Amino acid sequence: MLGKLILGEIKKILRPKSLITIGVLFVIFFILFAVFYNINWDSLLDSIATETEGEVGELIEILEGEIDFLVDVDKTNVDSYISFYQSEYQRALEQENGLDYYYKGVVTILRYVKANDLFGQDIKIAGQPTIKASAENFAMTYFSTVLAILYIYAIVVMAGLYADEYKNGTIKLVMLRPVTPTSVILAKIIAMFIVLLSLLGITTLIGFLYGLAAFGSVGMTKVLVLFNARHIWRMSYSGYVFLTMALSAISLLSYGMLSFSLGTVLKRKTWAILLGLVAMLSIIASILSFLGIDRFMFSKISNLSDYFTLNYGAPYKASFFIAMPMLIVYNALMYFAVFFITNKRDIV
Amino acid sequence: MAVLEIKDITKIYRASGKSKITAVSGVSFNVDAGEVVGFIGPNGAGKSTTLKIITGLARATSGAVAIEGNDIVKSRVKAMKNVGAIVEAPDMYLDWTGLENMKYLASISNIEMPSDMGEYSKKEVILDRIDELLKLVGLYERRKDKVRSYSLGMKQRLGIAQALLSRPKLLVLDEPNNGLDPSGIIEMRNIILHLAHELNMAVLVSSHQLAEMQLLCDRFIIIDKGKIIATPNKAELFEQNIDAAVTIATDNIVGARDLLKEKFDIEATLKNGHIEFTTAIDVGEITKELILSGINVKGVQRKEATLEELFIKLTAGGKSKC
Repeated sequence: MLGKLILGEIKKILRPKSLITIGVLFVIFFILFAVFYNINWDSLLDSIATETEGEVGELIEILEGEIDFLVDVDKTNVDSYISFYQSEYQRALEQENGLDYYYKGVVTILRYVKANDLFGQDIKIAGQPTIKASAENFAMTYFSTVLAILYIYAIVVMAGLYADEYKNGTIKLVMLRPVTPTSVILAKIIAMFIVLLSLLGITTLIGFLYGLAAFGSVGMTKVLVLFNARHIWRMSYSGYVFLTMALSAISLLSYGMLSFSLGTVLKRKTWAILLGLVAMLSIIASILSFLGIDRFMFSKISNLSDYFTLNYGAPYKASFFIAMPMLIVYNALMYFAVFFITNKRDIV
Repeated sequence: MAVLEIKDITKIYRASGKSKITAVSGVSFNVDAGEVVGFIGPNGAGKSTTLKIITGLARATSGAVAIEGNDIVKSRVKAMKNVGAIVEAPDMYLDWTGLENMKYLASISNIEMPSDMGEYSKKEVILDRIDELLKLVGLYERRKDKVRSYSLGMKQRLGIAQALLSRPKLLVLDEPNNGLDPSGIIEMRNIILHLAHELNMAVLVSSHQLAEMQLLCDRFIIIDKGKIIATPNKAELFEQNIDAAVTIATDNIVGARDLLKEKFDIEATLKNGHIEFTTAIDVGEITKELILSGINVKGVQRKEATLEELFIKLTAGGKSKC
């Protein structure tokens, strides 16, 4: 029965109108992105060549992933660099200016370079800008923007998954069957996950395949993945791209869940969309960042991929081990609220 | 055992602030297999709330509802397996066709398969059932049209069809004639009577069309201000103490009028060759008295009591509000 409910919910989500809208959006966006992605590299190289008068090589190295603080580091000065950034880290902690996560990451990278004697080598920190066009890079860049569209899609469509049925009276049709409110809600959540993950998968795959055809893959090129500003893992670039996408999928599903919960609890689609967008646009988080507690905010913790790179915009005292449990707690609370309310209150 | 058993249900809504509204108070009744029960009352009397509680769309503050012995709250799935319903309005998925609506609802209705399906698959049996129902309600030709293009009457018919998908033992219909034209109303009446009297289904119907209810129902439950105030069956309806309109034709209309006033305290109106009055007194008794007094009675006509008259009398004109 749950399977049938899920199939029905998928059909409700995939309304021709919304599919056509998002399809057209993706096609337009994809074409624009593919064209400007190519143009960007050429114009960037030209402008670098013009502005630096021959010092192109150094800048390209920086852009390729050799981060500025690593350029001048060698065996003789590494300790002073570590000590400098360590003190910057301490200062950021005292000043609560939100730069502590970044400086901690820098210290970790420098210690890794020192421990592994990587001075002068081409070090690629995962998630940092690079100009080397590849299928992975195209997919990553394309993906990060596609994700923004999908966030909005998730918020708008999922807000109405229950609220629309309530408004149109069709929730009665479903609830007049031999089903429980719990199974109906569960079917809606599972259907939502299936649709969002499928859209994410399909759009990313298209981006990756285009990138593969246009630029080729960098294959097993290793990058350093900085985890939680405290640990370094060596990983293939393709693996990192996959990891980022998986983490972003969690984020997307969380936004879908947030919007669905709001729509179900409030029974108002418009309010659910507005509140979902407020959360997504980090409006509340921006206010709370002044109080130094934005590391607990949904919008700050939901993007877990931020904890797998050198993140400049992380909140004060940010940690993966705060973000992940908090995200689980938030999602659990949303599930609980939805299940509790739909089971306890009158359906109509 | 009754198909539907309602025991002492009460529903209290929280209004603004701390004030509360009692929508339904201590309502109890049963509906047996093979009977059509009319559930009537003025606006705001608690009909819709009761129907929602019966179908599990709302929870009673206290009391219990059992369908085929299964409590609607504790054994919801088992209870709802026996129910087909339209509550408030036949809201369907407008962007889907009638057939798509039926297929989806059939897929989640847990339809029992016949013991001998022959060479047919479960899917074929269900599709066959859908076709049969769409033909029954006269929508087969329009089954591939989007519900958005249906008239209110067509949506109502589709609502009936979806309610019958699982061959329910209890059919709950809220205003089933909404949007139907006169021939549609007759068709609907015949369908409901067929379901109850030939297929032994228990049917609970709520409607404001009292004349139609009188033709359709075997008995009535009248609710007002959240409480049941009368439960007459069709036969008892005529035995109610209702003032009936009586016309007596006589060649001595003045004498007849005076006698009625003197003997029965009835105020009769003089007309050309007859008198008219309303009374709850047995007409036979009045006629006998007139004849014994030497008044020549040429004819007597008594207009039978109607459900509408009973309703108006019991609910103070049907204007009461909760």
